[in-house]
Amino acid sequence: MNRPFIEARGVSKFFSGVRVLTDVSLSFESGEVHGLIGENGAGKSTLIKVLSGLYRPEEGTLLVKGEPKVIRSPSHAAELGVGVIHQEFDLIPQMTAAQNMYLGREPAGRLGVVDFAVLHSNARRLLEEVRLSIEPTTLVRALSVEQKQLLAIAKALSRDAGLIVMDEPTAALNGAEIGRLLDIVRGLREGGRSVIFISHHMEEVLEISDRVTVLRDGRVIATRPSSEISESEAVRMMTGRERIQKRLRSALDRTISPGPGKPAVMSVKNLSHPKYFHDVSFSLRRGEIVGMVGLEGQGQRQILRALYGDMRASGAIEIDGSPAAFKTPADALKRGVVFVPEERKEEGLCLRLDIEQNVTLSTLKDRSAAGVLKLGRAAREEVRRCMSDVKLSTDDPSRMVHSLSGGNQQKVVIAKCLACKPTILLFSEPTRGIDVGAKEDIYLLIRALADGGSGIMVVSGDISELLLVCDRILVVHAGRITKEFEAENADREHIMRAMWGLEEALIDPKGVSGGQ
Amino acid sequence: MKERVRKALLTPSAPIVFITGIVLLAALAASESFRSPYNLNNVMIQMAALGLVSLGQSFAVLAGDVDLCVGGVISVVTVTAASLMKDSLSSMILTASLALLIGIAVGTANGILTSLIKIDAMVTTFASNSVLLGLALWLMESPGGYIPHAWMKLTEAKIGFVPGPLLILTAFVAISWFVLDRTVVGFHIRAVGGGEQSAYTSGISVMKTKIAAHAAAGFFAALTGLYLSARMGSGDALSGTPFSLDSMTAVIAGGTNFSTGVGSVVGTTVAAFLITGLGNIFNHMGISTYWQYVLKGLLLVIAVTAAALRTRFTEGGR
Repeated sequence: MNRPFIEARGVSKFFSGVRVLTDVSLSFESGEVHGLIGENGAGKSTLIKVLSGLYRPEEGTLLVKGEPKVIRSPSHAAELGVGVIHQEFDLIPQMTAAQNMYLGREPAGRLGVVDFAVLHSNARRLLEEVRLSIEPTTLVRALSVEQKQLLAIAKALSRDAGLIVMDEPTAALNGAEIGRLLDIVRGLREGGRSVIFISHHMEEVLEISDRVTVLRDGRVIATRPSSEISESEAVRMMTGRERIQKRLRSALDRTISPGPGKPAVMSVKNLSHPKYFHDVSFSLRRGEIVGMVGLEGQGQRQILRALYGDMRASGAIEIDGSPAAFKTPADALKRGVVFVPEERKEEGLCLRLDIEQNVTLSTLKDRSAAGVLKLGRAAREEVRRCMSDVKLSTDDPSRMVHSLSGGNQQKVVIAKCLACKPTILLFSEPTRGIDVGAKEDIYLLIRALADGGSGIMVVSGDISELLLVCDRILVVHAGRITKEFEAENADREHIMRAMWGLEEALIDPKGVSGGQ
Repeated sequence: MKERVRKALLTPSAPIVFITGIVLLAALAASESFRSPYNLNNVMIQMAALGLVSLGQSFAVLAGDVDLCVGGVISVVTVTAASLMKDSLSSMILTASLALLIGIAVGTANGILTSLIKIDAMVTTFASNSVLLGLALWLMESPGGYIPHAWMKLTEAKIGFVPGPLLILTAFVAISWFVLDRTVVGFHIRAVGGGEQSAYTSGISVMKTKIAAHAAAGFFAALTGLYLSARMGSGDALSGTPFSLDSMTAVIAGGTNFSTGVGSVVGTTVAAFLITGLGNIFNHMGISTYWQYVLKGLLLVIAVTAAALRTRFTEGGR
């Protein structure tokens, strides 16, 4: 066995008290391709950020070539021989290939004059190594995605990286390009380098890797030689068993069944966008919670945005039986459609303003006469009522939103939406970055809203969350709804397989609407 | 009550009020000529111009933008007034209305360019300033023109001991405060400044809001131009130049933070008073204008540092 290039021992990482990596012990050996798989949010990217010096773990140690090291920053990681190739390559389009490879380390004579002869000959040698046949003087903006990918690898090699981390390197490549990339990866392995390979395409991972590690909920579930693990076994390990507290389970029990008889509050027909999604049709009934799930970047978020007037799309949306065409979120609000965004700090809140101002943001006109706001005691009481409806931890409406925890900030966003008296609520990642207690509050709140007669859609990457709160779950793959599950008799494994496109679409997407 | 005092001390304008208080007390104690009623009256009249234009600037900064063309608007308005105004009342009213319309139109154009075509406000308003300055110089190469005596009298009016310009300023401070803190438009301005995307997702029209904020900035700049024309008794194409930056100084020193939607016009007005007052104090102490520039710059640094410390303190205290 080769010696490990980098080794993690008992590494844990917390974000504001929430554990995102737990006791991770892993070794990445020289001359090894190591596949890393797991659900969205299983901790893959956190682990990578720890290895590349972006995050510092609270517990545990990292050993580089057998020596314990604290990786202080990405540049320190590069010095130690860790090269990370991000999905968005860190390349500057206006500069040449060679300049990009040696950015910040340009070979220079005295007086700081760049020695272009040395620069270009060094660059040429490395470009050959990754079989990229371009001139070192080519501008990066003229390169294809595949060429950029290879250039990013060459850049890592120029720093003599002993470990190269590839985050979804094949995501934007076609079949032939993927084949060539995998050949390069094999070349790196033969050159004695260690490669961490992350991909959503299971076959690829199993094909290229020597060993595979499965992460789930921030823990290492297993590390196995790729030859000894099957696709279905890997999926099973990624999803794990149901782990839901009984209390929550019973509280969320579907007391009122929406049933097929109830009228559709929203129906969507052939919603299409040239880039993100195609022919999306479904309907949402009163009192129903419909989940939408997919791997990152399959179009589910964009579908939600189109429903909210934040993205143009063709097709038809009907609300309460009458057609709705939203050009802006303001239009959607007028028809009772509200959106709780995943990026609450950028899209949901004005952080430096207080709770009252945030809660009333969408309803200022209703709270005013002739443009002048009613700020009396009654108005403040109403804000307080909204605050207690969502179980906010404070009852002081003048508190600044940025001083609240993530869970409470999310509750402020929801309070703002409730103030509009919505009939349809669209949630995107409602519990991302929120601690467990607040998560439960939010699940119960969503259920209560549905029981009150609203139609609710939830987009989330967390399958157990969807199984917990939803009545139905739609799976989105490559911009289409490929499968529909009744949450009652769905299981994680089948949903996962559908998300990964491993299961053939069993139903015609047009038949998914359910309420027809 | 204690809680009230604590909150008052933590408002964004607290540092500038504190600094201004100290400077004012020191100047009153140190300089006899400064504390003469005649001079104090003079300071009040002087500060009205910067105060008015800074109110407008507050609207732009609170909406998350800046307005660097308030100086250009002032220049154009003074030369327009000095070219068109005749002795008749109707002429004065018409010219003044035209001037205000010019200000609002320029502001609206700035708002459209920044929100619809999404050119950075810094660039848009800097360009507008250049255009306006050029136009003003083309209209009137050297200071001059005619301003009716009655119009000039407006600035000398007094009610009791209180100079008229101070009353006008106070009225507009109150109006601005009301609009920014008590109306839908004001809240929309703060929301857009505090988080444009969040405001948009909440159903607020970012474009309308930005246009309103810039139009307010233009309106106040035009008002300042009219006031200056009366005080100078002439038009001057270069009279507006210092105001673009001075008004920014007043707004920031007054405790308004960039891209947070937080800040009060009271702080801005106090800062405008301090900036104008400092010049006057320095004159009475015989400090050269060159050093006045240096000290003005230092004041800005101190005020902004104080605001930053306040933010850190209040966030740490939570």
